[in-house]
Amino acid sequence: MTRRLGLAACALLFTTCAAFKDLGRLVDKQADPFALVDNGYRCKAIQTTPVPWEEEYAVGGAVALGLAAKSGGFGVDPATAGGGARPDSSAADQLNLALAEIGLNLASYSARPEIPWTFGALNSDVANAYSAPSGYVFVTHGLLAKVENEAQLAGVLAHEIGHVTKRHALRVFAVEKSWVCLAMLKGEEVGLTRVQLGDGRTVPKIELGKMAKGKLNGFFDTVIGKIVEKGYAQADEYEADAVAAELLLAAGYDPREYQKLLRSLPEGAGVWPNHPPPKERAAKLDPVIAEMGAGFGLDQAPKVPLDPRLASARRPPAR
Amino acid sequence: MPAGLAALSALAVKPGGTLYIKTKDTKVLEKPDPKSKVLGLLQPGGSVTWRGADPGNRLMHKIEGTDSRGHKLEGFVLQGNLTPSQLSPEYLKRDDGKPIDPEAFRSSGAATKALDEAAIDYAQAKQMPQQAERLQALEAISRSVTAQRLAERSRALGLATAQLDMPGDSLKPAKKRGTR
Repeated sequence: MTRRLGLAACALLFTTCAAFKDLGRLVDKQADPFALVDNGYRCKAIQTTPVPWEEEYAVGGAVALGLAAKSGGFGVDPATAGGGARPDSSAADQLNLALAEIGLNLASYSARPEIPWTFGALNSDVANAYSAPSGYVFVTHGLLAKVENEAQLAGVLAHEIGHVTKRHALRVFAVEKSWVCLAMLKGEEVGLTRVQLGDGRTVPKIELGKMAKGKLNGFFDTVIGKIVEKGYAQADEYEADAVAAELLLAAGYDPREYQKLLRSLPEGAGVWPNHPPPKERAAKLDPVIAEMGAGFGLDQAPKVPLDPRLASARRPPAR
Repeated sequence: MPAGLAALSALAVKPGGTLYIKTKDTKVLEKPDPKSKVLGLLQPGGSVTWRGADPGNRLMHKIEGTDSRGHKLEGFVLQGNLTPSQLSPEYLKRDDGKPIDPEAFRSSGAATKALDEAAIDYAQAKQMPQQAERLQALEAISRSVTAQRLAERSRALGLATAQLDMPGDSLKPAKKRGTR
């Protein structure tokens, strides 16, 4: 717009057009920091380039650990974690096994059925659920104490599956990666490598495996901070809810139970202030459920009670 | 209708719309009866026109699709074989441009490795190696769940299933339940 105004003024006043053009370029560059640096566009392109699986797996594990640090840790039998017990040997692991069975069934209907999905409980009394790239999905003991039936729990898990399949966290990751790239182009020491082009110029190549460990961990901290502290955009939450409704219908649950859960949550529920109100999220699901529900025989959906293995979530968590 | 609601409505699939096949060798049956004639097989990632659940058996859905040889098929499939989600591109194209299906992705080993080394290093740097161990334990628990176990559990609860040939499988129509 600024450039257009400059050119219009140039045409009207027959003054020095070159000067106006330069002004326009300067203003545009100020709006886009990637345009201020030679080859900056290469860094900006990272924001829209698909994240390779290996990187998704690495950042997913780090985000999962960051979530555990902020949410009371994973609710796993310590004996199992040390490799000294069978996966089904305790109430805590029975709970995790039940979550895995419910979650994996839902994930099998998702756009990414074969990534190594991992489901589990977090030892926090705050009702919430989280996900991390590469298929990590967690619910807190506080949320498990709130759900009334399996369809409601499945809705929560399916919502988190939606964040993973829509790659919401990876978008945050890619943006942060592009900033690291830009910092490198500006000559800052970020622990990355450069690759030489045929014409002798060098450009940054962002590969997590080539980052120094200290720098990589700092990068993970930044990404985790963005995802864990700020949460996703409102549009991402609505999109994950729509995925949840689809997965619930496909798996045979009644998605209206998920709406019921959302409506039961108090205003301002959830960790992040930028989350849309739960009741508004529930209302926005109405058209999705109305359109698909008729074809899926919604009114004949079974009423599935909570799996008895989830009962340990109502007791004090193992720490 | 507010813009946000309209956008979500556009995401919804309705009968006449497109669903996708999620199970290898999905049987297309002549009638909504698991014992009826098999008309052909459909493969994961393929799209079908969805006509909705059979009125007498909500877990059998009428579809129209095309098999790998280009033959048109019109019949019934189990609900568990259908998904509203188009498979992610990671399964459809590799670097060489050749298609890869979910099973090939899984068997490549990419989908089965344990917690990434970079994440373990991160846990050690943050002095939470115990949480890394617990996360690996959770991964092991989820890996221990078999497709057979998921199918058995879904069947027992009256949820959708993808398999026809399980022991004791009669796939009776669901009992009529009250409308909420």
